[in-house]
Amino acid sequence: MDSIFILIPIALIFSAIAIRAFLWAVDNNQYDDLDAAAQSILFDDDVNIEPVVDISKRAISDDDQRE
Amino acid sequence: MLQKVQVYRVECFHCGLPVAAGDQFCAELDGEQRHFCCPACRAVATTIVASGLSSYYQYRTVSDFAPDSDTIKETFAAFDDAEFQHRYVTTSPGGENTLATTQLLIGGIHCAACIWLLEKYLGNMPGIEKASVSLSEQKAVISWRVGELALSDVCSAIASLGYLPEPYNDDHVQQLQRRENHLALRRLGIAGIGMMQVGMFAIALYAGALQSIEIEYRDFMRWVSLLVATPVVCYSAQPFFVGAWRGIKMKSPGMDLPVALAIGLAYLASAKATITGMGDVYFDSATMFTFFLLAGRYMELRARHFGGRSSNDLNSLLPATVSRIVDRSRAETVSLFKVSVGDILRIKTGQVIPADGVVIEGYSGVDESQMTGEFSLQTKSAGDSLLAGTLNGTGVLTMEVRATGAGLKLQSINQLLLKAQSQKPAVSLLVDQIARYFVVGVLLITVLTYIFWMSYSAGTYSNQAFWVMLSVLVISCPCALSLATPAALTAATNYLRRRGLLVTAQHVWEVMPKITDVVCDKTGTLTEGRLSISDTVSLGELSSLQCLAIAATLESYSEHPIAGAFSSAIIDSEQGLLPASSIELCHGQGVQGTVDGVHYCLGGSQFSASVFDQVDAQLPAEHAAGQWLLLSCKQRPVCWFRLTDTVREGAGELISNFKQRGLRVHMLSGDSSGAAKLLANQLGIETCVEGANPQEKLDYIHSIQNSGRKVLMLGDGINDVPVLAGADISVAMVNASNLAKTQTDSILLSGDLNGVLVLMDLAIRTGRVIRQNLAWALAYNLLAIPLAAMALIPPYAAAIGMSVSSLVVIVNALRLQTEPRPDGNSRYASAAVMVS
Repeated sequence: MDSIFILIPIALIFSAIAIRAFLWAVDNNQYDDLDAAAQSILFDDDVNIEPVVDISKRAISDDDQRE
Repeated sequence: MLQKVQVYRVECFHCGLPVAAGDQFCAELDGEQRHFCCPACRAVATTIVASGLSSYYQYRTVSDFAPDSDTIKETFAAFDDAEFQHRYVTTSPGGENTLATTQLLIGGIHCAACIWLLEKYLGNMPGIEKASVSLSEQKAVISWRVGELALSDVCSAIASLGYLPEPYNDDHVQQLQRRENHLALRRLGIAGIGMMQVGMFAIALYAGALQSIEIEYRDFMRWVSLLVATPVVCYSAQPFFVGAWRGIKMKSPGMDLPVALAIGLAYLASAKATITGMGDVYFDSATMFTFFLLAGRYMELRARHFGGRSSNDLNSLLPATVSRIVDRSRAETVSLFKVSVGDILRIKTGQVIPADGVVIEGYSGVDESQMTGEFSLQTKSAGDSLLAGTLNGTGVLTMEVRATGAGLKLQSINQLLLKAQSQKPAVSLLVDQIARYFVVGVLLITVLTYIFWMSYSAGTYSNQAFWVMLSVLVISCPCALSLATPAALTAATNYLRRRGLLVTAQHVWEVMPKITDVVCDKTGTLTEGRLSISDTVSLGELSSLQCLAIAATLESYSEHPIAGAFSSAIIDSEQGLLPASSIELCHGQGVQGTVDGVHYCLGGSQFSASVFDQVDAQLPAEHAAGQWLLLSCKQRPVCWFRLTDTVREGAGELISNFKQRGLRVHMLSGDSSGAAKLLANQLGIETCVEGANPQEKLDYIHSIQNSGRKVLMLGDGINDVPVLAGADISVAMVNASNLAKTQTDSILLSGDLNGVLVLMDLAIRTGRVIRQNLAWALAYNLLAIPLAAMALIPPYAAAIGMSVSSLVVIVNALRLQTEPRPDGNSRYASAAVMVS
């Protein structure tokens, strides 16, 4: 039974860590948008992405052609 | 003969609009041929797929809006302006790696796939440090390295994906809401973790009490419980203490007072028991109580913020940048707040007019429904005045600015809105009235109990007197009473949210059963705000369908909203357009041209008739009212078309349902063309007011209210903001993209009018559940408090009683989340019997 004198303080340290982690999450706006997060788990992370910055200019030139 | 052209009944791959133009715009994406309605949609889709993000089309739940090609171009240049950046961008200095951060309101976000697309695309742009997009706020927070990228690049990238970025500043209210939300979450989290810890020790203590635990272990666990419970009581439960103190100061003790007393006294007594080693501890009750109450309040707060994230300022309607003409010819893009009186601005088709002023050049139809509620386009030519916040519909205008900033007419609407909000009829919630008596009663009984036991035991059992008193406080369980309303409201709010209905104001539930009058706006509410052809009256040998084909061919060259009515009609009739030549658009009058070798003319009766020497062209007498267009050829009138605003599906049933419930239905319209009266007759609405401006509409509502009646206003949330604010309950029909600009008590996102009825029914059910809950809580208290005061209930039984009574209240409230059964009434009756 004497082990509780060690185990309970250890449990308390874990709780303190949990609270710290929770506060960090709140401060980093992790809880601000609960709707998107619920669905984002379904998305693939590993799609092959090539950023195409110039594409914006291509969009413009297309429009210019129309006019 | 009429030659039929094949029409593709294909939907645009990106925006879902019908593609009528055949193979004109297509692209091969991921090996498949896709069709698009316009080059802008094609460019967006190509961008998305070329970036390897084609799974976006797989995940999205709603088709996108067709991108407005004008916004992609040039608009964003002004975003790099130093003054503009000073206002919207914060920078953190760091030499070469200086980071700039800004918030953008992103128009067109509709589901989580948009978030994914934007975050992935922006996150992989070189120079962007971090991009996070929020679905519920439709807002992006973007940090980028100033050296590598300009804000205009970021915005063009967003626009190239088909979204519309707007600079955005949190207004004061929204900053407060964010802070409130974070604080509530911190309190809730700490209370939750603390509750679990204390609960764990409490189980050990209860088990130990039965198996006679040794004193040293017992005291150790009590000390640990005290340690964990202290932050829960001192930090998490703070709002209750603050609320209780405020109640005392205002001399109207609310529900917070007994809550604060129960938490505070249970904690203090337990702490005393821990220190002295005598008596019982109730840390578990105190922390659990705190957590459950905070959880209820947090859910309530989230529901409130979700709807209340609107910007309270109509100024957000104005564009951020304008195109200013300098040196008589050169156009430059500048930010709006640099515009001053006397500047010459160019307003393109589809742009919002940024300032009050006068047209100096150009010809266009302007949608002024924002200011006047009138739906039909107002023709503007040189010398006519323009109002900020209205929409330039058809042509390009050059205007001279006459007023900006605080001088705008728009501000007077803003003022009206503020006034209407402050005059909103005050509602006192039933539960508050009960609570006041209950709280005073409980406190009185508690004090009397204490005095009685003190004098009865003549001081020898002073410790016992304290515990009896505490057991009265604990068993009186303000918990059940204070949960009675929020639990029911939370359940009802969640249920409605799943049905596409947001309720943002608490009083809706209380007032809904008392509603006697329903006032409906016409355009955009009972109608869809979209023109369509309702009647075709052919006068000659051509069939109606042939006439329609000719008219649609002529109109296909026009950008006027009327043309949209013809193009959808022709698609519905599965016909093709005809070959045409020498088309001439006569601004504000009509269109003429040669179709199939015959010269036709389409427009208002005067236009069509005068061109072809048929001055006496008369409408068939039976079709007097409404907006009619005439198609004529050289010799004679050919066909009449009637344009009407499409009546929203379910409008008729809604009105008759209102009447069945004994409600008086009124219709208000800013439109004065007679169409409103016609619609009112068609739907069976008794009272109809036409041509009313917002002030008159508001007065009308006040006049109903002054005769002691309660008004529910149903509007589109954009045109009638002050009127909505003045009504007892307001319901707005809004699509999600306009959500941020709406302010009402409740919002109908689905566009399904039956939502109003769902809301009404649920409000009545909710009221019933609240009354059951209150009845249960009061009955329980009436039984338990006397027993506790007689010292017949040991504290642990008091704690159990308290938990059970709260559970009953919550379970009863959760019934609101399920669909009502057809035999709902009998079920409620039996449930009420069971509960009491």
